Amino acid sequence: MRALLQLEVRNSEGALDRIFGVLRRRGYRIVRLAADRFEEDACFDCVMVLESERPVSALSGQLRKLFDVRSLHVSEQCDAAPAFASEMKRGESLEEGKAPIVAVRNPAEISAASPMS
Amino acid sequence: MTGAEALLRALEREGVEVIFGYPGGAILPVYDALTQSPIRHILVRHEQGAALAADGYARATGKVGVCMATSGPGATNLVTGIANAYMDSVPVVAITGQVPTALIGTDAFQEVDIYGITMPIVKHSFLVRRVAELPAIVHEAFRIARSGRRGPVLIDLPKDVASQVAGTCGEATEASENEALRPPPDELKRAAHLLRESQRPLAYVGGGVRWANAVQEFRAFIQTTQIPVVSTLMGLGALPARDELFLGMLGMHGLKAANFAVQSSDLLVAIGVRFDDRATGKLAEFAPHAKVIHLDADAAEVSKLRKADVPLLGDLRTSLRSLSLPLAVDAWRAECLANKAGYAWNYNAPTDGIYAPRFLKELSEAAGDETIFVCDVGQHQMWVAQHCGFSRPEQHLSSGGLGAMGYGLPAAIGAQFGHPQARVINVAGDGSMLMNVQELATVKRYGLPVKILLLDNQSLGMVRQWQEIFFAGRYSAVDLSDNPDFVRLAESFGIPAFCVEKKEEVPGAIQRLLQEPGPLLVHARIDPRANVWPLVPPGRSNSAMLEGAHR
Ligand SMILES: Cc1ncc(C[n+]2csc(CCOP(=O)(O)OP(=O)(O)O)c2C)c(N)n1
Repeated sequence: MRALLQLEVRNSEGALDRIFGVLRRRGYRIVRLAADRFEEDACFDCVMVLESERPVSALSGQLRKLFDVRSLHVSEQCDAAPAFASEMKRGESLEEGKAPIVAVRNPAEISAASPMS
Repeated sequence: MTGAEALLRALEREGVEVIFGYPGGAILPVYDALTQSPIRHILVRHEQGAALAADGYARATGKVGVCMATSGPGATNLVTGIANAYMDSVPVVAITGQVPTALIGTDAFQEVDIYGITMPIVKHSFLVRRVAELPAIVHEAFRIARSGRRGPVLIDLPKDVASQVAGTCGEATEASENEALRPPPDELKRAAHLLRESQRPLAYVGGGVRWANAVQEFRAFIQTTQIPVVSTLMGLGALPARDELFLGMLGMHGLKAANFAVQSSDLLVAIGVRFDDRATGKLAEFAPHAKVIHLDADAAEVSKLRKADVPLLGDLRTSLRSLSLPLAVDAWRAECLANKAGYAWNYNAPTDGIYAPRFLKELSEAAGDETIFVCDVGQHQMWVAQHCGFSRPEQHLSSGGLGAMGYGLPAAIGAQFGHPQARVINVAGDGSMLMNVQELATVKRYGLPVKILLLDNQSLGMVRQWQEIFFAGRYSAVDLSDNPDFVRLAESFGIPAFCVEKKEEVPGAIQRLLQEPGPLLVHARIDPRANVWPLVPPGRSNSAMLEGAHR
């Protein structure tokens, strides 16, 4: 299966390591990935496309348990979802000077977007 | 106040009375502050012993166990114990010293990334960067360890933060304890419907029940529904073993009546379990005719391995109460009880030597409900699970998920500190015993009345059994016939000991084990060829139970 995950992650020590560790250990491979900080750097927006022989439902339970994961949205339609939770919240008012990782609608564009601002 | 003092103050506020630990450079400020703290520090002789003692303390008392070590090798020595607590969902807080903040990441002396190393085996972890955060971090660590599905939490404390003056170190803000989720009413209704429809319902109970404080509700559920019960290794004692409806442990070394009941049930009420492979055997053939109602606190466990027809997430007590309905399943119950009687164990093995299952059964019957049994890992662990009867889950401490040899002695020490008046018996194997034998010094130092029953088969018995059965008897690295003299070994630590090898000597040994006021080691020689039966070969269905000679 392939799935698109959008996560809001508390920017605490090693939070992203922890998430990547769960992906690796539970048998999910990252196909595409982008992340950006928001809320005065207190949080990460993270969007990724994963593939695995295992169902994504088995992963989402594990990710939701992590204390740093504030929200998780999973979709098996990898090519139809907007990329960033913060984008959806902040609407069009993207700060100037930020990397243009806006409303990615197609996984191919996610890899094209620069992941870090 | 320094960071170290703030740490101890915060631990006191969490009600911590005892810490199991071992000092070293990076944790020195905390050891210094300990001299002024009411918290009792117990010096173990290896940090693995500290982590496993904290685990044993937690399992025996239900409170959070605390262990502590220095950076580098101290911290890495904790790892097995942390993993053990993680696999069996035991609330433990592990505190490690770390090199000063400025040196982190420079390969400083005794620096290891314990935060990174333990990431997959903790529920959560903290690296304390600022002293002002300490009270809140400690409070949060305890809250996480003991809420929902329990587990270990690591606090890594750099030396400079521990020595820093904290000034007015704020109290932790009272975060409200998470109320356990209530399962949705319509799911409860669906579950009750399945239960009423079922002709052959069976309760499959695990360690989650005791940690959810739902033992009473579970017993009331069984009392009302009168459905038979099988248990995992971790669930033993949730229903008293003497209860008529208790069919025994299921799984690889499960009792026949238990495994057969699972295979012919039409509804499994799975309560605080995780469908572990040791319990299920070949998953695709596990309980092939059964629908599943799965009660658990951890959403990630439900439908992880076996699809639940009705998931009941959240507070087990609520679910159990609402499923407590009188059911008309007399024929099924009678069938299960007839199987239980038909497959009852024959304790008269044709041997002049000591038959371990019988020894354990008689010991357990004589020991009574207040005795705590703490196992190591191997054949003897399975015999304890099969033949000792427990009336409470806290009475049986066993390393289930990790299966860590060397668990027994340190965990027994932890349990004894938690219950100074209780009789604590460590049932050990000769292999496991030597994995943490140094803790005999801890037993001696603190005058702990821990009893050790060492079942010596002069081999790594469980591995030997697998080599005999699955590798055509090609024995490899399992012979321990050159064991040390265990009696003299114990005596050299100042612990009385004696040896038994004939079955006539067993009653006397049991009497001493029960009456000796202080510590005691009983070295029982058993047949090196003894095996654990039944045995479901790995990857096979639970109905494929092998059986062989009893020795
Ligand atoms: C730390 C650790 N190393 C290796 C094993 C693998 N193992 C499982 S049981 C066993 C043999 C245990 O021997 P012993 O303690 O003498 O108990 P017995 O099986 O003979 O009763 C071994 C080596 C393990 N479980 N834990």
